[in-house]
Amino acid sequence: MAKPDEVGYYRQEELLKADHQPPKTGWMETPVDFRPGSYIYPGKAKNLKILGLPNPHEWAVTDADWKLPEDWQRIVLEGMAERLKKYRSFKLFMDTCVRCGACADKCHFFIGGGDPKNMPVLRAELLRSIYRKDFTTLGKVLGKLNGARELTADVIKEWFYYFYQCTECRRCSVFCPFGIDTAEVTMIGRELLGLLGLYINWAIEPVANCYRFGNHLAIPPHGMVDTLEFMVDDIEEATGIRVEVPLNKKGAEILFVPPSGDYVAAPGIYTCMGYLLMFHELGLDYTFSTYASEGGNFGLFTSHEMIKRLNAKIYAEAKRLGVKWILGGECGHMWRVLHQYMNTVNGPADFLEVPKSPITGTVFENARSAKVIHIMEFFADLIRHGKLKLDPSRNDHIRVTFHDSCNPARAMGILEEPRYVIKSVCNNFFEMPENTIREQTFCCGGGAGLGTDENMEMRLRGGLPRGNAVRYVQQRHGVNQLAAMCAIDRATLVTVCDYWAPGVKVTGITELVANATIFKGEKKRTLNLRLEPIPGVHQDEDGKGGQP
Amino acid sequence: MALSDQLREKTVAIADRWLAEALAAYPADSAAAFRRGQDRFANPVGHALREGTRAALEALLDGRPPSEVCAALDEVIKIRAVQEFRPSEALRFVFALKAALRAELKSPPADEAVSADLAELDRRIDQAALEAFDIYMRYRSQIGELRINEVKRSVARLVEQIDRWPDRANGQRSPLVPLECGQSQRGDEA
Ligand code: SF4
Ligand code: SF4
Repeated sequence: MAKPDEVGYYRQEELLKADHQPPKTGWMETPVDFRPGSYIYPGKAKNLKILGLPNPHEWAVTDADWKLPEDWQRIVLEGMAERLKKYRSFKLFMDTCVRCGACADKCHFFIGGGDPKNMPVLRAELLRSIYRKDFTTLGKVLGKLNGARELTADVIKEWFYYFYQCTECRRCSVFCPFGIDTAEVTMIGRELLGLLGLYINWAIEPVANCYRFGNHLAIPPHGMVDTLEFMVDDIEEATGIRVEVPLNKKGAEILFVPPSGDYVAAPGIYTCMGYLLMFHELGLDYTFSTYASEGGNFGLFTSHEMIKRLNAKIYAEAKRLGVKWILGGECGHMWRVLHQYMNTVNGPADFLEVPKSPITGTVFENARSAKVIHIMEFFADLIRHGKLKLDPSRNDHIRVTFHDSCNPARAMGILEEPRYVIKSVCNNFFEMPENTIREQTFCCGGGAGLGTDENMEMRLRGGLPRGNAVRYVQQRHGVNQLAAMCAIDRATLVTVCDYWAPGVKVTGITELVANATIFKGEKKRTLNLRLEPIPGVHQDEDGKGGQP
Repeated sequence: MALSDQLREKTVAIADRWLAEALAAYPADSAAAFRRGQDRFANPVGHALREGTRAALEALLDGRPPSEVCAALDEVIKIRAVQEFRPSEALRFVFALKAALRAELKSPPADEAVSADLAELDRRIDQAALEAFDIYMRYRSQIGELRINEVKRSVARLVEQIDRWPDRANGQRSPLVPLECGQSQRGDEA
């Protein structure tokens, strides 16, 4: 740099160089700055008490003192030691990262916001730096030189901020040459925070509700009956068909478990009406349960122990009712729990049979261990065997694209079934760009317990890559609906679309299926399940519709 | 040669400087990532910044009204409205265009006509910046509305059911009434 007594010092170029970069302290020393719109309110003490969790207490994210238990460092380190022993994956993920950076720009929160600590590698490093300090010889000796640091209260705050800015979507793991799954690091990070009584209310309240009522929304059994009966009325108005709602029916062949989001909020309710209609049409011997009334499991966003506690009801109810197998509704994370955890944490379900479609006879060998299949597998099989009478032209006013929900797509590989079903019931289907779908799908930004409203800016940043791809197909192909087979998506993507792709509505797939199905004994269909007039079908004066 | 012709020849260089200024709002590693990625789906922020600043610059040099200059920045402003910036940080980059233009002028304009032209460009940039605040505020209030709409949507069906209930059950209370759906800042409030 030139000195003031040199000509170069006055070069216009130099004068114009303004440094707008924030001060460069290393990431380890820069304490977290809690910005409104980016954090979630703390778990209420009453919810922790209901669940018997440690250190229920009053605190706010913006408080200087989070009132940690006296020996909190010991609690965290012992908790870490225990989990390093218990979960081999966690130990591997702590040891393996070579900091190649392949994952760095793959997280939707980083892509949309640009906070370096939302790079998956740094998110994991928040925990790994403590691991190095206390669990590796080099870290103990070399300290910061080896990427190790002390466990301080600021570290805990930073964990809370960033582990609740991860939707556990696993996109980063797709790009990591070692398959390091930051979602699992986040899950452990959240468990460790939980040992200190630190939760987010948006996750721990549904958990507390689920623990007492069997569903996240604390809908009591009679409330559930009431809710479904209202749907029965609406279905009759739309189709002229009065469907029955089998509840707690002993000896039914199939236990049907939807996510509870489908009971109460649009657009999920239309998908729930779709379930009722389709099962009626097929004459399925199935039952809802007022006890296992929810397949969603916010335990997945809380701790492994909580997954188990909340999910126990599913097999227990299947056993009590004496069903043969379980059918899951359109949910994302529920599907991950039912298919990847349930058998190990609550099984073996040796009292159940391998799921077999009573209509087509197809045996779902893929579900041999867990005994549960996803409704899209079930529908795809029916359509494949020509068992549904479909008129896709009823959906001709819809130009639809499909959002692969993180859990069914990336965790479970259900990629083709939903596409096959959608294409069978809609004539106008358009894929979003390749690097935004299937295994590379972008999260809605509100999964893993982040789908509340106080962190709206965070969600919209995280939803940007998805919204951006939706708007692309909106502009290019006139797409006006986004289909998703996940209850969280059906809630959060409505907002993502309103901001990034205004004009695109969100729908469940079963809603599309039911709108395209020709039901036995239906009246002339002029209304869809939203009770909106179907474009292109006009209402006659006598109230009957007719093609123009 | 008129000032805007002089500058138009340097559009690429000016746009590049301006983009660097806009990227400087982010930490260095993030700025580098936003600058690097060329795929509009993998790197939507970098893409919007690159396209937006280039289009706004062209509008400015073509002598189009400030509202059109600003409209080209709409997407960038929309993105900034959800990032963790204070309003001044979010929109500082609009003013930075002035410095980017000057940096590409060989020397300070001696000619009076040219300096008048430069003052006029400055004036239009200021005007565009003011309009950028309008757009920014529009998006900020939309975020508030989205929050409210989401909460409303989550209870709309329940409210409808409660409304419809008396017709069905002779005025009895719906079993859904005791549901709570409040959120609070502190962990203790019921
Ligand atoms: S799991 Fe998803 S949200 Fe979490 S760090 Fe990886 S990409 Fe980001
Ligand atoms: S891609 Fe895998 S190895 Fe590379 S930095 Fe990310 S986590 Fe580490």
